[in-house]
Amino acid sequence: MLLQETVSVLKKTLLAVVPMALLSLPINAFSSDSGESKISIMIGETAKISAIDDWVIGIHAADENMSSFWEYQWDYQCVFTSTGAYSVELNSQNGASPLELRSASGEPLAYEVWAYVKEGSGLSIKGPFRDATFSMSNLTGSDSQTCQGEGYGGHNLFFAALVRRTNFNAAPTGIYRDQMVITVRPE
Amino acid sequence: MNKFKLSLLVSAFLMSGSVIAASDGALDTTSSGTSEVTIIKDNAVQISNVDDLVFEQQAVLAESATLSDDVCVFSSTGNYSVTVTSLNEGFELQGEGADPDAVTYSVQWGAASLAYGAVQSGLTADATSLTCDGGTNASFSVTVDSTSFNSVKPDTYTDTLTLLVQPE
Repeated sequence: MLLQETVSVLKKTLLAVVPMALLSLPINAFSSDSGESKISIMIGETAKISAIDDWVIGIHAADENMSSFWEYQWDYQCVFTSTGAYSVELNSQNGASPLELRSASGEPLAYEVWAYVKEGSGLSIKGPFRDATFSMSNLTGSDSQTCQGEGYGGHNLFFAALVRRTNFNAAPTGIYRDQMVITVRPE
Repeated sequence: MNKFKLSLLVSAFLMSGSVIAASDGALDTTSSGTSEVTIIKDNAVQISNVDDLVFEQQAVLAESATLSDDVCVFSSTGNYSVTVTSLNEGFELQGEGADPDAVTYSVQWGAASLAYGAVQSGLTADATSLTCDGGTNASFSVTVDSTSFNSVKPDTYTDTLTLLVQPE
């Protein structure tokens, strides 16, 4: 008897509790609430090379021979990198190793590349480079996209293409060319 | 009211050369630029910085109209000659409409008048910089004759000049 009464009380209690619970589920009523949403955006490290000029090594008449031991001209570039450090890779479009300038008729003229690069606060000379593809790493870039405050007229990377006299004087008349693709990457 | 639009397209003939242009890289995760590497052992010449000449639309010309363009001429010898010819095979702007008319013009290189197809010699070029260090060292001009202009019907009149430079 006692058991039956107990079961009966429990049934009534459950019947009372369940509707209350059902009523309470969809309301979600709070006087205040808060949640969290994490927003993220990844900004990649960037680099930029600018102030690139053509590298004109020299201009000679058709019958002229070079009297100096070699001929070269420094050309100045600016490298910005968001990390402070970068690597640079150069690729010759003629693709010859050792490097070749070529005339319109395909005559080759050997040349090499030298570089002044910034490492820390000072400049270091690198070279000679004679392969069609070559690179340098752990160089110091500018924190300004225009190399403001870099000195050297706002430049921090310098290249010179160099032709030696013996090669030039032996070459037939022509306009000798190559194209260098210069790629910088942040490190 | 008559309305005219005149234009002259100018092409430069480059002897033993081509336009050389370096390019900067863009700001990106990597950045690539290009540089032309050149050494010249030749009597080479190049004309650059040549622009089109487009005259304003006019109904009547009270006097002959002139437009000029500054250019850069490089020659490894330091001297050059220039010869000017045109697509219309004469210094005449041809109308583009049906039954077209023609408007005569003249060409000057600096202060010297050029006869069609004649060689103008003894000119001084830049012998050290292919691009005149970013400047110019010569100019040409075109003068449209007002009498000829005022006698033709409304239309667009054009010609294309070819400026041939050769080392001397």
